[in-house]
Amino acid sequence: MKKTVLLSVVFILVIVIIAIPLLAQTKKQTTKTVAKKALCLSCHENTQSILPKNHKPVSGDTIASCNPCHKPDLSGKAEPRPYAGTLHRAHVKEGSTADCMICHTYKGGRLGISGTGVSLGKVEKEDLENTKKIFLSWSQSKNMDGIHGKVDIMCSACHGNKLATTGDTVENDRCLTCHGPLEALQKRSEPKDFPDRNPHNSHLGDIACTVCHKAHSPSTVYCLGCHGNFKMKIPGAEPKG
Amino acid sequence: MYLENIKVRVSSEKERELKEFLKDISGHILEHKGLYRFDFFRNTTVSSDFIIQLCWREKIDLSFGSNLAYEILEGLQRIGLTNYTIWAKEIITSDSHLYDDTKENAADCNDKTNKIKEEVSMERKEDEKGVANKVTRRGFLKAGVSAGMLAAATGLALDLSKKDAEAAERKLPKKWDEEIDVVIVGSGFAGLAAAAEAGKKGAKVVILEKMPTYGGNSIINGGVYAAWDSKLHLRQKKNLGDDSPTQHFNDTLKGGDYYNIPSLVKNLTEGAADALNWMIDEGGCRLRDALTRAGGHSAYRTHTVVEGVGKGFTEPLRKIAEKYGAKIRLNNEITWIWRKDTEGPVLGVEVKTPKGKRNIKVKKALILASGGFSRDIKMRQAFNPSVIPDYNSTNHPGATGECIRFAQAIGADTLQMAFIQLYPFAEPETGILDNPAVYPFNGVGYGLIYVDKNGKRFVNELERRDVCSMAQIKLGQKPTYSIFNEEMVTKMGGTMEEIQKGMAKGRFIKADTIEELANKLKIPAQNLVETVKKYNQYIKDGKDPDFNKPITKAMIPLEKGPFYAVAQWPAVHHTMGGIRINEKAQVIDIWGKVIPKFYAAGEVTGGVHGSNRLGSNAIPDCVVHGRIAGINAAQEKA
Repeated sequence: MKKTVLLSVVFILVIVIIAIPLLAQTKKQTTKTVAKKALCLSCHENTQSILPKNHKPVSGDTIASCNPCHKPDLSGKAEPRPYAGTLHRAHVKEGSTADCMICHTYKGGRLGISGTGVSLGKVEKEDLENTKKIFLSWSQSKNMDGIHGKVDIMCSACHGNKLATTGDTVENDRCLTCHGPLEALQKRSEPKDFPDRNPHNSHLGDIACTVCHKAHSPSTVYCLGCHGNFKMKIPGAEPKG
Repeated sequence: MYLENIKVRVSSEKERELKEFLKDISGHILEHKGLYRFDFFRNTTVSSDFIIQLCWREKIDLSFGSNLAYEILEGLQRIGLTNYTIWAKEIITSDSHLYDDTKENAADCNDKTNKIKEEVSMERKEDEKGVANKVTRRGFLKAGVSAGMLAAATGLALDLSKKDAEAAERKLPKKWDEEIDVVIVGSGFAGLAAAAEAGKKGAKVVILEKMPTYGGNSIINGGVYAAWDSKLHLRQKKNLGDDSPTQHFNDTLKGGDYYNIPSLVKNLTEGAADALNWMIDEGGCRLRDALTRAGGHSAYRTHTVVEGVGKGFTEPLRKIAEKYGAKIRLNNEITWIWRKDTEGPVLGVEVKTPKGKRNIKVKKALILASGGFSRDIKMRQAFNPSVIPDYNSTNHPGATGECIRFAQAIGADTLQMAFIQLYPFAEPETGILDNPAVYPFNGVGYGLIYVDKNGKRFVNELERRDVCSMAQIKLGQKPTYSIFNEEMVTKMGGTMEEIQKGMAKGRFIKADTIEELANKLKIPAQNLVETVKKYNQYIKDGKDPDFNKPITKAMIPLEKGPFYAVAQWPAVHHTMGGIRINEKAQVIDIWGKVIPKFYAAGEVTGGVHGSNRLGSNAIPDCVVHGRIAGINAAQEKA
């Protein structure tokens, strides 16, 4: 099984309304190349055009403008995060030239959010590239990460409040926070014709959700490895081509 | 007095060799304490059979037989005599005419014996000149006895003893990422049993499982277990005749065409009942109130677990293993076995984990319990091209043979790799061994029959798996059917609930009459009716002139409905060959030496089942040898 690198950076972002005094500080924290692009308005015509309808006007030109209201959420709770979801989907999609360091900081091996002293956790330098790949997949793939990405489920919703590293897995309890309880899930997936062909009540016993449901690569129905004649579908499967 | 007989079939060319062998070992035999007499004579009724007889003054276990007898069997095997039977009994007698009175006429035998003895002593005189030869042969045997067995040279070309053997060279890891007492590869019956015993002995145990779920083939296995007895004593309670470990031993050898290594078979047949009781007592394993006679077995000794699937054994084993601290690591696949040179021990393993490559040092021992290679089509083809890729397989997708190759790469010997078993009764379309596919196997002792698409029987249903499979394949018409009636269901360890479920899936076909059943199966009704009628008469007569099936009292005629049918077709099921081990489950290298700190158990090993494994012998093989490996591994020095 090819386990894709999971380097999720929990980009829990923040607004700053009082932008200008902090701007200098922000620039200091970021690298030189990034610093040049650090302004939202270097790409966007005006701030208002990128805000949701009914959002109150924002002054300032960096992520620091958002931080005071959209405070970094380090809880690691399994729940949607519309703000972080929207921002990331917009900036990590294919063809985007935006660099992570426009809004994030990377200092002493720790990833942070510009304009705050918040640390999201440690990450190796070479893994930063993997993080981008994972985010790209999260933003648009047909895998489970893409499916979750669409509804603002960020890395931390599955991986908790620590940055995930290569080979990390997700425990069943975590999945069941949203998709459980197990009994209800089993009830939902019980086939009407053959109730004992229930993928969530396998004869193999208590197996990991991740046996079939893969976040960052296509999901596969493990049952079909032996029961080739079963008609079973799974979300996030390899698109037929 | 206790009498042990080994009957061995000898061709006239081999006779001299046999006599020489017995002469050579007679000194060794007579050294045995408690042995009163050792004899050797021609069977009066079948002249090609010889009887080797051991008379014991000291009590021997009649069910198990003596170790000496098994040593002799291994010697016989080495000189190419493989058709033998062994039995033991207690006799009350005051003189030295100690012959098995049920088999032989004592006086006649005595005559013959003396004659043969003379012949032997004559030949001995002639041979006195060849003293050196004699000494060598004695030495050979003794070496064999002390090592448990001797490996035959298999002619592998790779010379690992040379420093510049580039093909064999991989640099040892500079550092170990982790150190573990006992590392076990595979989480099936054998691996779990080994983990339980090693853990109990205080070793830190980790099981590496490459698949994302535990249990390998074991958890989807048919859940049947052959043992001559258990604490439930089902055979005795159900009045299903006699049995003993020796009888089980003889059946297993015969079913494997005597390719089996006797000491390993002895482990299996002697250890089966105790291992079963162990799983019941310590693991909470539950058995159905049924005992069946399966193909190739001469007794009702096949137990069925309540769950009706191997999980009913893997869960108790896992429970015991975890109780003693063993940890299972899923998604951990070994990619190499580390050994420095051809003399030294196994040092560790290289493992592919979700977190990347790791090198684990094994402090006490490595135990391979990684299963067979039924799902490795290339490997199947390499050893047995007749097992063509088109065959389905009952196995889980992980049953590939890479661990056997890793073991070979560090010098381990393998044997009998060409012997690959087809399960005759798999689900025809996919080849899986689902619950209904166990019925054709379990039902034969109670009268279930197999018929082809013409409604005719085609084999003695109590035959071995290889025979039943080939009989079907030769028909050339897929599938065939098992026919049974409702009365047989619970007797054969089935349940009506399973029947209902199987019917819902279209696996079991039900009808009130044989004619109706034939119509539903779309086979000629007249033929099937006639077949069944004839067969019912055979049961009443106690004789099957068509296929010579041994009719037993427990068999039920197919008279009373409702009747059931289930479709079946052979699929690749078990690889009898594998890594060579001795009776301590130590892996043997290509020169016949033990590879230190290296054990193997279960389907990954070869030689236990010979050319054909008897159904329900797999679990006792795995559990018994797993336990042996676990106990011995834990006792290695760290």
